[in-house]
Amino acid sequence: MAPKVLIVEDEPELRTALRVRLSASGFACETAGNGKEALAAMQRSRPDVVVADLLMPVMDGYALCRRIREDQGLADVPVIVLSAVPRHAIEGAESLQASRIMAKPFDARELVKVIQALLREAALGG
Amino acid sequence: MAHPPLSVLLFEDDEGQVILTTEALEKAGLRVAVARNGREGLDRLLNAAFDAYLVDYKLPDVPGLEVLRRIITMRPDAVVVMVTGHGDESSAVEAMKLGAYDYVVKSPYMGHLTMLPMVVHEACDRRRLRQEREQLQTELWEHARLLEERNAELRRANEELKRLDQMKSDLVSMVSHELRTPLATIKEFTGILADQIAGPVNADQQEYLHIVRANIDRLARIIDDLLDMAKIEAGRIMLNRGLVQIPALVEHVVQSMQPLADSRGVAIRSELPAALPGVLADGDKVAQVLINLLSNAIKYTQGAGQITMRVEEQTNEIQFSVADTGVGIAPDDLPKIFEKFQQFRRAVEPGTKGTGLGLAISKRLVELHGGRIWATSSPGKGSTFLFTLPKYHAEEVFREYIRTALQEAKRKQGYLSTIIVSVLRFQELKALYGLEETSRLLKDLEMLVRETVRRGAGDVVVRWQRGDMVVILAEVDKAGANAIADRIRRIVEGRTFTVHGKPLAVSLTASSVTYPDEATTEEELLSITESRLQQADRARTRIMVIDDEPKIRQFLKEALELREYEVLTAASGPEAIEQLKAQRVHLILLDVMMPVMDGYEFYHVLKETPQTADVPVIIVTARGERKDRQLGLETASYNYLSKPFQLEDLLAKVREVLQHHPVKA
Repeated sequence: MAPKVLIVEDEPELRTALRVRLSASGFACETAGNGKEALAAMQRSRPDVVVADLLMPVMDGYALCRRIREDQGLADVPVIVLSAVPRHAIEGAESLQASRIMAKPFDARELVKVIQALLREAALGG
Repeated sequence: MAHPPLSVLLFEDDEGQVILTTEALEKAGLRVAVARNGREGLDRLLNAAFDAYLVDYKLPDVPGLEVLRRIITMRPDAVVVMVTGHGDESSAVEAMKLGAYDYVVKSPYMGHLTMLPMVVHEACDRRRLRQEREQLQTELWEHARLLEERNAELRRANEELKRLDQMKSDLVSMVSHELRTPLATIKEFTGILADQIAGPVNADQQEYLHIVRANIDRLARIIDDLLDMAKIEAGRIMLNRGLVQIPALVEHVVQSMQPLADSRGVAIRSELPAALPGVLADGDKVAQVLINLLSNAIKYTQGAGQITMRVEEQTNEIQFSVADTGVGIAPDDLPKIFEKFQQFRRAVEPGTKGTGLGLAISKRLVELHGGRIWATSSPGKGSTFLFTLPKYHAEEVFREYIRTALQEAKRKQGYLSTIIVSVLRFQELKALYGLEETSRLLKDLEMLVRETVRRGAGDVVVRWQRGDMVVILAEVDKAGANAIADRIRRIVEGRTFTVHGKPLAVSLTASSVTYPDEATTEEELLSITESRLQQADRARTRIMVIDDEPKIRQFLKEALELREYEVLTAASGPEAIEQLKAQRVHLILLDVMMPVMDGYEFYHVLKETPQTADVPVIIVTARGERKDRQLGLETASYNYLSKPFQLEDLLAKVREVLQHHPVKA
């Protein structure tokens, strides 16, 4: 079974690009346009990895991360945060509790590698 | 000075006086008008102003003082000189009070006539000066008002500038964010095409896509740099200073640049001295500067080049240098390379063109740290970029060390110990052998301590100014710290040092403080460590604690020992006296309520014994228990502390009493 990746991004075109890329890399992709939609999708079906934008309308990446970490059923799902501000400029990066933070524009091949690494870690940890 | 002649209105009814006075005044260059009575004069005043008024005290119609009053009312700044008859001086005082400038007493021999012009002149001068002063004052006020207005304007302008600056900064942040998102989308789809996810791509197309991606990356770097530059220029970059270990930092930087260097066939070598002091700096920012210099060096080195990264400790600073064997920089370009957007003419590989901001940002970052940055180059042979970071006073480094290490210990829920090493009789050694020899001795000691500690995993921070040194041991508990302290003492005391060519044995005290056993906060750890350092020069102070309650005895012993006092304890008066015969103490802490021999009885015995008569005593009583007066204990050296007391109060009392009653041991 292909690992499930949930893509959370409010820019429809970037969302599409991520879906095309990650699908081509062998992941089963689901998409959401903001944190709220993402949480709803995660309740329906638990993803193996979440790739989330930081600044989004309705519910942003900060809130999404917090809600995931607070949810017993979801707390251990790895979250990769994509940020349009450089790593050192992210406010509250420490408290974000993301598994990885990648600055936009990111390298998609690097993203795929990171997802694979996190999946391996999760498999070992579980 | 060509002033017009002064005009005087003379109020005088005596015809003789009028003639004589007029003549005297005119002779002195004054213009004179005459009023024969008060009313006439005052009428004239309605139409014309005079420089001065000479008013006779006794006019036929209106009294002189009344004339004076009216003149002053009509012309507040008028110069009025009263002319009084002989024996009328008392009224002169009243006239002055009313506002007359001066008065002249008529003399039967007409002597006052020669004085009058002088008095008038002088009074007019005084008025002129006063007016000038007032004028100046008015002008000054006006200036002050204008200045205040100008200040307010500046404040407004400043606020406006701040607002604009904030807007600019927000704009840069926003633009940065807004640019990055579409850039990410472009990059993604380019990647999808290049990786042939959407179908096959021929070689030409692949090459063009590569160029697109290289330029996307460059745009992204420019956005990063612009954001940094805008922040620096708005003064918004805050240095997050901490203790930076240079070797680790250099290693991290070299590691992160290794892939790029490998891809270009360039070797990176780092040369660091065996020991380097930690620096107080923002590690991320220093790394950013080093990465910038390294990536430039790699970029401008073609073929199998060599890059050397060197760190050197100098008197007041640490110098970093990055030397390449690349294309070099033309002498004309050297002074400009740290300016913004100076893309100097150096041949580079396609796709590696910089943003024109890297060196400008590096310069600002180095300068924010209080360092300097510069470059040397020989075209065709290579360039060297150098920058410095200031070294800090041992005290600052020491405090920062403890702060950083304690945070780390807290995070890891581990231990942190400090060992305070103090050279006994240090002042004496310094006096005996001189500063230079003592310094050399301390250097030897330092090496020995460093060697000993190296095997115990710790950092040595040296503060030799008082003959003491602090060793900081990460992840070492109390027992471990004590073992290392013992080892330091044994090794140092087992070694013979040489001073002026003669052998010398050195004695040390080495004691430890451990987090979280003895100190739970950084302040506590610092203050306990500091307090031991401050006692380094002193021989240890011996205190005897006498209390029949074992728990209190133990508590006081521990509390005092923690502050480096040597503590003897006794459960009763007789036991204490037994001990005191064998050993002198500097202070006695005495509980009053004790069985066998109560505190007061003991006190008397103490004071009657020659060996102990001079030892100060702090008497600890329960509140309201002060029976001392009845017992006749008003004399001599004792102090009170009421139970229950705060430990801090006790320690303060102990320090105070020791200071006021030094005992020869």
